[in-house]
Amino acid sequence: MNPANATATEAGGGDEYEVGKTYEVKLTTGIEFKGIVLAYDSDPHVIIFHEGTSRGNCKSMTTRTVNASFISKANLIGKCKDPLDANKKKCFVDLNGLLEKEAIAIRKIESIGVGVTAEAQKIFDALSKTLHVKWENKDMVIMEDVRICSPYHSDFVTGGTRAANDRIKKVLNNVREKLQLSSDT
Amino acid sequence: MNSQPSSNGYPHTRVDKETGMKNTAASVDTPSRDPFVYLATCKIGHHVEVHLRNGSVYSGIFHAADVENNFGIILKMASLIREGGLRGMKPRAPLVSKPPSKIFIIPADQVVQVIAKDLPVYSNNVSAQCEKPSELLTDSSISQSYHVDSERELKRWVPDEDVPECPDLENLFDDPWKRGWNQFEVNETLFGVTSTFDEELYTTKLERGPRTRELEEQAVRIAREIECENTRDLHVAEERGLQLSGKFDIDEETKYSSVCPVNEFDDSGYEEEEEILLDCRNNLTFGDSTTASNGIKSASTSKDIPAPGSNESHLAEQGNGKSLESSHHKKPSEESVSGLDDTNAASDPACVQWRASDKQSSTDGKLAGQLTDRGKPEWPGTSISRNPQNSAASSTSSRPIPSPSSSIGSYSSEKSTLNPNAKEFKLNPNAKSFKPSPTATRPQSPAPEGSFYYPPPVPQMTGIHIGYGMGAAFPGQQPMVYHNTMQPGPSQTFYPPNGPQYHPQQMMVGQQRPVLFMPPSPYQPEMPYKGRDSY
Repeated sequence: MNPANATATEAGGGDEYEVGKTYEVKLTTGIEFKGIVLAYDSDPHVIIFHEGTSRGNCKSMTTRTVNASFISKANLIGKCKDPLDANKKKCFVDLNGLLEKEAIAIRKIESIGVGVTAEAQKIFDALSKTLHVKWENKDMVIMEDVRICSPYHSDFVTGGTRAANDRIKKVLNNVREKLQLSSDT
Repeated sequence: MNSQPSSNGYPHTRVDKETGMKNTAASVDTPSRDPFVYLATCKIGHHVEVHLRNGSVYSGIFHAADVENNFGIILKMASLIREGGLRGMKPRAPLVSKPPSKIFIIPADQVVQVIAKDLPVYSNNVSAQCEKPSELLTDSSISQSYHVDSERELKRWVPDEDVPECPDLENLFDDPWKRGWNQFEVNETLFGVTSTFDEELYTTKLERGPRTRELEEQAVRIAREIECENTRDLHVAEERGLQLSGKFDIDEETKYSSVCPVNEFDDSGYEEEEEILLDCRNNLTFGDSTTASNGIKSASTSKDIPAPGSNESHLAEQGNGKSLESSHHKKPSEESVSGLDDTNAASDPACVQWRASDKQSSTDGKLAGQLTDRGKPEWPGTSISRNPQNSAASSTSSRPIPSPSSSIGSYSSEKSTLNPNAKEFKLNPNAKSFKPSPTATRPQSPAPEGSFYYPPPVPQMTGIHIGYGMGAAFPGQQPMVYHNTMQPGPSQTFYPPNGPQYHPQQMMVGQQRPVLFMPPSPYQPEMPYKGRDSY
């Protein structure tokens, strides 16, 4: 990584990468982008870029946290002040909200079945609106009781109490109808 | 793979690595980590892409970054998007053959870059939910500004700097002369307004003379007595600073807002008070039987404004307010009764004592109805000693009245409207009866309830044998209301033996009538005497 290091070294410690400077960056992996420096730290040598050349007053940004050692080339193309408005405004972070957001995201990913058909996924999504459904490999497990196996017909509903079973069958049929899926698939 | 921070080219002494996320950098070279911390925090929960050294790209939920040290990344539910190691640009096909890793740790030196797309950045009051909610949100969470103060510990206010001239709020109700603040003076000074305030317009004129000091002392003493009296009322006790109930955990609701159930003691006390009040009211208004001769006089004087005399200040303790509304007092103790003895030295009609007057107020117009707590002690004595002959029939006196003996005893030492020469009533079954005539003079008002005057019955009855008791000649003995069957004229009249004998308090027109005196009949009607004409 010598060239990269050399680049970084030559680029200087705090001189080169300053907050607000706009660079055109090329990474060793081949990726190129342009961005404004939001933060810079020389010790682990990480730079956070705000992607794009202009800092709009947008509520969201795309950030790139770049390990400076992988920067092969960085051309200064501009400069702007205080991209984060850090001095003017206080930066608030809703930690609880973020944690919730994380939980939601995790749940969402968990709801995606691995190796299942798109149809199955649709059924799963429809069921999960009203029931607590989980993927177990390729089976849908409802309330840890009733299991629906591939191909997810009402015939393949097993487990649970008689009442629960019947209910799930009913719901499944309704869902299928709504999705206009034939019962063959 | 060595996880040394290889990105660092120069031997930089780590001075402040351990000082935590919010450090302000001690070293000149190292800028504050705050932006890093801030941005890293913003990324929590966000989908990010991590490009690794080997070209692999992982996508996952950003969970943590080691901001302090070397920016290692932890992802949750990370999945490989693009395989590394292949130089070609492979299309990103979602590889769902492998379930995502629940936790994926990427050491810092592997990280080339971390891309967070459309990362919401929060300014001052933007709620965190500015992006489209993927889950259901409640209204409150949407509308809530995230900068919410949870309940904070309340601290008592302390004034910054006390202005010494500021009158203390606690002393606000102290006597004006104690406070050293004269509003009138101030008004005059500040606004040039002269005051025409005269205290005596609003309250009883104080007797200032040689006896002033003595009167004041008495008043103070009586006031102290009142204030130190036992009370069962929570509020009064609190005002006086007495700790009434033993339980300390009575909550505010019980203390100040709920309705207290009347307990037994208070009920009985109330009852007695009420009766006594009625008694005294009647006596006040209507005079009483013992002073029949000057009954009129006393009745009328009770309504007059007595001449201001030295007696007024004796009555200092008799506050306003009906006794009915007052706190439930125990029956007056003997000492309080006797305390009044000295004070009631001079007065004329005893009714004057019932004037609710004290230093502060004059309520002359409200004479009749006023009864005070202090006044109570006298009433039992009054009703008893005034109507000795009514003891047999008086309904009130039949009830237990506390300390009657003391009241009587002390009362006798007081000057009152009682006729000191009156004989005590003794039942004389042989005495002549009293027959009221329609034209006989009557006092201005009907006889009081309690004072049934039972004249001694006539012993003889022409033509009819009467004895003390029932005879067959008499009509039935059922209790009935007295109705006057007398015919005008001198003829002898036969009174139904069982009826209560209502006789006004006038002199009898001397007629002998056969009247059988009955022992207290079981039926004691409470009807007020309505005069001769009402049957």
